Amino acid sequence: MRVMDFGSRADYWAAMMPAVVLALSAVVVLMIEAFARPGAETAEGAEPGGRASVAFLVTMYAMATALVASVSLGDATGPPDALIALDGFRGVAELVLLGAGLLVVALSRDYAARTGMRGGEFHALLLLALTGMLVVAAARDLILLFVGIELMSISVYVLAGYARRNPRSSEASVKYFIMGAFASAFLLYGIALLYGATGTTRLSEAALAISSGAAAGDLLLAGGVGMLLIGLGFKVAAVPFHMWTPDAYEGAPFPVTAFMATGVKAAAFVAVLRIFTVDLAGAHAQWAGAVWWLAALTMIVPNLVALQQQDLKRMLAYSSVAHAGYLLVGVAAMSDAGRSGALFYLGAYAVTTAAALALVSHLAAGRGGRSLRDFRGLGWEKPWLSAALVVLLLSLAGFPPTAGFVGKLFLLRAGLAAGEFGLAVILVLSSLVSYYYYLRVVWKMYFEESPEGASGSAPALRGAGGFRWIVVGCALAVLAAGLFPGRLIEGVEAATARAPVAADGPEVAGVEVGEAP
Amino acid sequence: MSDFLFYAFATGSVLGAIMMVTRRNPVSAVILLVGVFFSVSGMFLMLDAHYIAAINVILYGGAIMVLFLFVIMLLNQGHATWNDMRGPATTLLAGSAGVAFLAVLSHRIADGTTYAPTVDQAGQALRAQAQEMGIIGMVARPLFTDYAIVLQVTGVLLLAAMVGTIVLARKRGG
Repeated sequence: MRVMDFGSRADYWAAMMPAVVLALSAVVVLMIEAFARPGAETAEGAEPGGRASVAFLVTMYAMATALVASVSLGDATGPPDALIALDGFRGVAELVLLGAGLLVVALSRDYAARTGMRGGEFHALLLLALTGMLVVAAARDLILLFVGIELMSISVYVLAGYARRNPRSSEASVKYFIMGAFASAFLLYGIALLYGATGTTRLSEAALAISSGAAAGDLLLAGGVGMLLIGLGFKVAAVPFHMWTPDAYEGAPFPVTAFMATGVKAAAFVAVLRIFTVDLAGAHAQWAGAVWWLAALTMIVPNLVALQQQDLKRMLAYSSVAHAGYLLVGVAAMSDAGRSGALFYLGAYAVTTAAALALVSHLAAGRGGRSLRDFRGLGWEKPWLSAALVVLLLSLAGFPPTAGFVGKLFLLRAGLAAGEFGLAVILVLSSLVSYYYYLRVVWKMYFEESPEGASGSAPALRGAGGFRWIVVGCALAVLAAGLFPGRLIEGVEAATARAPVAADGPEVAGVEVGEAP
Repeated sequence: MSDFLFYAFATGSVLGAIMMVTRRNPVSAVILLVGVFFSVSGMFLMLDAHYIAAINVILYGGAIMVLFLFVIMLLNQGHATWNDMRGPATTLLAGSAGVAFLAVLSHRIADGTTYAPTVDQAGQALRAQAQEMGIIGMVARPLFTDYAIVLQVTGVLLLAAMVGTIVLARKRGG
């Protein structure tokens, strides 16, 4: 086991290497775009299956490098009171975030080829947002956390409005921006109040101050924790802070929607999981009730609203809000099982949602619309892609041989182990409700007649950039993870159990130092 | 002398603030607000808080107010004004909130107690630090040592904001 004591500056660079790689690559992508020959960008993606642009290749390469850098940090640990976390939880979180980024960029080539979306700044902003996410996953200080969240959010505000010719995209961007700024204000105020209560912004020291009873003023502490929960609640789109989600997800370009639904949500959840279940564990009394209600409402409300949706993209947006509710059960459980279960669920959910959104976009383009009626009879016309969509939807619903089922099972188990019977019952019931709107799509695709001339109305589309291989691969991966979850779950649990151990001095209270299995 | 300066700055800031919220023309309101910032900076200077005084002038009095002026002038909102407070209920609410705030403030000043003792202790520690490395050093040392990473990420954040602005504002493409 490699131990970094952060005594020298080089340790910081080494520990932040994945984020450094991404930030530098973003600059490189911008430079490529700036010095590209005029006209080169319009040719990009003109023909489906054409050559990949340089920006695309650099972006994929950068994310793969960052992944390697993250994995190579795998066995390193730092002191528990460092500015930057260096433990298994961060490792798994980075794996999820970088995986989501790779998947979104790989799938975006098909969309770019279809719509002629310009690539350069899209890739640069995506890399910058991903940098922010990695900072969020690593932050052990509230100031660093805030800066990371802002870096992620500001890049995504712009990405949501990337299709500037489309007024819906601009609407999505403005709505997300205003609600996001509102959330940032809450977050910042919460940080200030927590600083007032504990006298530090360092999370490990705050945990110590809270658990030892040195934190001043119950009101300050409760206010700070509450504001923090509201600010992060906006970012994970938990009911009642989800109002912006359907419009922003619906209006944003498809790759950006996929990125928001997977990367942004995962990064915010990583922050929630770490801050609330580890550092603020001593303040459990202050946030337990609020998180319970957040989880319950977030499971119930969007599942009911999604029943009414005819537009598949909007339906998936509500489904994404509902999944935040299931994940909040893992937070409410406040245990190692809850944390590792939520991380596994985030990974499964990221792969499934990114692929499902891209697939809906692709199939809808061939049908000239993405409402339920446009998908009638699709199953017999595009058997492979439709089968993949069925698998992905079943995983989102949580049907047995899929990753989504395993994830829900683990969250359920964590919730029951923590004695949250009410939440467990709501989780099961709301999942049952969600079956209806997921399975309705399957019904329309296989058991209803195709509308007259639907297949002839749009030109036959071939997926660009290996689109079909990626999507079918995602569906197979979701199935494989559902059939053989053992090794995956063991890996996640072993990694999250590996927490920094204080070399000397008192053990950091609230951080369960798990034994290595 | 310092009494005279304090009263000059204090009257300047209070009068400026009152005049600012009563102007109908946003441009003159912004100019008055700049005056308020300068007066407040003067008071910071008298408290030996040179760094805050300078930042207050550069950031608030300079950058942010110029931005306000640009927005007002570019959007041509200079002459169109409307009342924020619609209806008597809102006016009553806003007025009573102001009166309540004033009451709390004057009560605090009148009973003459200092606040929590921890503030005094923290003040002692701060004073010792300030003598050791100066006000600027107190800000700069943690910024460039403990929080160097945060500073770097902030740089990336500014880059993202700049790129984003250009992406959203450019003419062609998209």
